[in-house]
Amino acid sequence: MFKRSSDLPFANDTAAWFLPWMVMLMVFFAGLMTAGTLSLNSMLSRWSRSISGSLTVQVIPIEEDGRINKKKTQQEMQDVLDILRKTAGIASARALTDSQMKNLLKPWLGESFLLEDLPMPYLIDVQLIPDAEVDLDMLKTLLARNTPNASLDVHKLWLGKLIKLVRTLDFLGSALLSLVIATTSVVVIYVTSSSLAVHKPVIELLHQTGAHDGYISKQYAQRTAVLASVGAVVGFLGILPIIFMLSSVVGEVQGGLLSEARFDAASWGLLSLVPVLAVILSTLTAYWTVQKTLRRML
Amino acid sequence: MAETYVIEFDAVGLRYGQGAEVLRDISFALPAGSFYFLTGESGAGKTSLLSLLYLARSPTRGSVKLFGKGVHNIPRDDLPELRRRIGVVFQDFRLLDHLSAVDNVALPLRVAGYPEDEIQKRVAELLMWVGLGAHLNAKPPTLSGGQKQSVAIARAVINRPQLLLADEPTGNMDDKSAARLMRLFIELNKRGTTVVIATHNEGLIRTFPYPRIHLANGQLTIYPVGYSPDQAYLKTEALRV
Repeated sequence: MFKRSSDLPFANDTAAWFLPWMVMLMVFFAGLMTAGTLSLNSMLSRWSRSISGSLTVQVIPIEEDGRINKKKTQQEMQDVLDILRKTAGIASARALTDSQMKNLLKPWLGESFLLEDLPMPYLIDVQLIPDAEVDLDMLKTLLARNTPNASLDVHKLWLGKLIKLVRTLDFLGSALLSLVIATTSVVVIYVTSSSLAVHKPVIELLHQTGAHDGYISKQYAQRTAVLASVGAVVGFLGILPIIFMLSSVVGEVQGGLLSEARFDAASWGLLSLVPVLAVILSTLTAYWTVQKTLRRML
Repeated sequence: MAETYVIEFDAVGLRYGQGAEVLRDISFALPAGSFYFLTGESGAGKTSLLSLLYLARSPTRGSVKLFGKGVHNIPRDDLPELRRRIGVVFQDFRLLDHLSAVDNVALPLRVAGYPEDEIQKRVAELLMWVGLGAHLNAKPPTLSGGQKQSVAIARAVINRPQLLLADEPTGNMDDKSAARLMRLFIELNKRGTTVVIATHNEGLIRTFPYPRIHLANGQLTIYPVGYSPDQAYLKTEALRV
């Protein structure tokens, strides 16, 4: 006998049908931005982890009469290693072998190349003692004085530029996200205000029968939650193929920066919060709009 | 013991916007458990007076007290509780077309937070009593004028209000239905509800002996039982409160 439906005739609200579309777009763009930010930060953190606590010294091969003097180069390598091993704070220093060099170059040059044909410097991988202070200025001076073909790469400059790039992208993402959130909030406020104007006689009747503002606000919040949920689910489903496609492309890239841009379980967890937050935001905005408008009525 | 007044008006005036006052210097008081007809020509201000009584608007000047409380001083959050003590039958019914007869009548109970089983019992009983047992799930657009009026009346009385205000409640009814409805109002009045019925139906006023509040030119006069504004020589006998 009792078929409970909303006391307000929401089915007549044509403006309300914008809401799921708007929330869908919000979740889609916010989700993409979140996914991008999470991937970039994951990449940055993996790189930071892998290169903090290490240094690289490169030694340019010594040329005489247009040919590489292997003996002098090897001697210089040994001098560099000696300096490094005597420096406080350094745990180990070892020259990369030809096969290790080839492995590093393989993602870029493929299998078929001869290392001897390339003007490649020799590399020394230096591991630091955790939390130890290394006097890098002193080390640079020593290397420059004793081994003029050697140079020290502390990665910090490169990493600093990368961090700056990622932080800039983070900021742009946050700015765009704020814009999307603000636009959606404005649409929710507009849709709710229009509905309140259309249903003013019904609201007056509800007030007259003794309804609190909260009773009416709750009905608007429930209706908004349903509409926003539809949009949020569709928007979230729209992101999934894009992330899977990009993950697949990134997975195919062996080595380099992109391969570190992984989307792990924690990232999926955070991403799944986007539609939930979109629904909560829309619902609270609608509730607040109704409360504020009803306060102006008798 | 001092008499308890449900309604107290003191020098009340009401105007819409910048227009002339539709109610002027209205002062009267209705004791709890009383029954009054409210009469007056069309445009005399009956609906405006009722709207002040059911708190749809505030007076432009003067003071209105309901159940002993000045409506100007009541915090907004306390208004719903006050309104729940007032049942209103609107001239234009104000039914919600998208809800069934049952849900329309259940509205005051739902907003007051009654349990659903009690709502079902009370609403079904009342709709049976007003002759709408066969139309419980009918939507208002499918009901006749008289049936709509019955739903509106059921909604007004379902909450057993302490003050019942009805604007032309028998307007769409035949004499038999009108008499039946009046018996419902009288029964509520016997149980302590103060009743004010705005009507043009002189037959109804003659049949049921209750005093009348008469509005003319924005001013109010109360006539005891048996006195009428048409009886010019009796006007001086009327009680100006």
